[in-house]
Amino acid sequence: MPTETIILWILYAIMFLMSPIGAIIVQIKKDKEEKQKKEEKK
Amino acid sequence: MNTYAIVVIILYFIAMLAIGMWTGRRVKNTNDWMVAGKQVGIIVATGTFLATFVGANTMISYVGAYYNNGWGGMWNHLGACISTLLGAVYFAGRLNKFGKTTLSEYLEERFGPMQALFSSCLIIFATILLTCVQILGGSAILSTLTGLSTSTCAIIISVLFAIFTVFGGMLAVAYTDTLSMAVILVGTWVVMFSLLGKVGGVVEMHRTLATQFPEKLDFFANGAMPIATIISLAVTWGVGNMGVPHFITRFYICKDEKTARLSQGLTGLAMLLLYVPIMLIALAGFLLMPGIQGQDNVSPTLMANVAPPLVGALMMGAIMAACISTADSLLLLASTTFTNDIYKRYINKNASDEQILKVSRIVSVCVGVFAVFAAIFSSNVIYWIQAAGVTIMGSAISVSVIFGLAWKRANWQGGLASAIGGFAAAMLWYYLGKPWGIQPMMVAAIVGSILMVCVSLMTPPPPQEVIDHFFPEEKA
Repeated sequence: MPTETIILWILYAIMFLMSPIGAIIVQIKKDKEEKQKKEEKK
Repeated sequence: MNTYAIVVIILYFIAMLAIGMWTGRRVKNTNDWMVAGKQVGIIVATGTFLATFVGANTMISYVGAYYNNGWGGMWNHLGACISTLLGAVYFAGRLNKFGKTTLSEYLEERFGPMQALFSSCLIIFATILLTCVQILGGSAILSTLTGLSTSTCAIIISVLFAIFTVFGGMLAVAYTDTLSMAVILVGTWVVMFSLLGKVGGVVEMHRTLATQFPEKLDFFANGAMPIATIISLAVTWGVGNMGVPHFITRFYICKDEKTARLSQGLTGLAMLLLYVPIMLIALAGFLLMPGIQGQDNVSPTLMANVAPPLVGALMMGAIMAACISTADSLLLLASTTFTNDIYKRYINKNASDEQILKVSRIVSVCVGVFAVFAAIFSSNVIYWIQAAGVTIMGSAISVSVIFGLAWKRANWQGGLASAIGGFAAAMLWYYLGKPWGIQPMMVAAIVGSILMVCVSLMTPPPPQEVIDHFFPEEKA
């Protein structure tokens, strides 16, 4: 496959994968915060 | 293909009715009917969001857009990718937390009753029109396949989705939408494999395109997709989708913030699984049958002339599923907005839960009947107005949703000014014929944002209890 096409595929995938990656990062952050709060309460 | 397609569509109709009846038995109160008891998990939340997002025109127009612009057609999705990203990282969780039943209810709590009433009226008007459009789209397909008149097909389709929506409300809509999404994905993937087989596979197809039609691999569609258009698409739909109530209510039905957030993440992934086959179908179709005129003619022409009969039938089933899954959501939205935000608030303030449920179902039937008659007798007017349908809602609502959750200084004066100003700017831009190709929604977003900031800063801040409610983390 031409190199330009491979770059296009990568860009296309990144465009759509922004939201799954974003959601996972935010969720990990929230889980950490919650865990920290629970520990503080203990 | 017709016989196969009719069989596929009949099987799909039976499955929809069965799910509608099954979920209808689980509806015990208005909470179940309007927001599925707020107990929906990640898979169903993703299925219903995407099925509502993907309408008949998505299945038809995007094939045409990729066929004409090649890889450059990808920019059509940038706005949707941005809005799902915004939803995933910030808005979906917050809307799940603060949303109750309808979008107007949130707007009333955040900005007061005037904006809620203004938004409710726009939502009811726009959703009825958009329901008509989906009925027209579905009936056109069914009419082509069966030879029945468009009016008869419109009635058949409307009766089908009205039955399961009236019985099962959001519960039925969410589960049938998920089935529709599965039909859409299976249909597009089967068609993709079939057409790719005819052009020698993905790699060979791209080699041929690179040597014979390099413009189809151009990032900017050989000038057809300039940077200004890409930015316009990104802003228009990246912001505009945040004000579309039938998308927003999908966040309300999730069982918790985490589900709402992650379902938006999964939606991005599912979009990739849907739009990759749509793009490959279009590019393979271009090599197999170049020269099809008219963006909306590409998909039906390819299905009729290039795809094997059973494969074409699956695609027809997928397009029908896209029509019905969007129409049922719109019908439900119109009736819940009327019952919850007009009837309960202004007509019968002391209505019991049972009365509200009964009225909601009656309103659904009335809206369904009205939509089908409007679709049959004023199709030309509806096609003209539908182009503005999402803009009508998005222009007035999206800025308020975004600022209301992200900027604590936003007050009711700013919210009302941005809603009326954004809506007026979008309509004026339509009237002027969309100068420089700029979408009306983009103008509405800019005007609405300026008005929101300026008017909010010139008037007193919102009451402290409103700030404490919507920004509890700052209080802590």
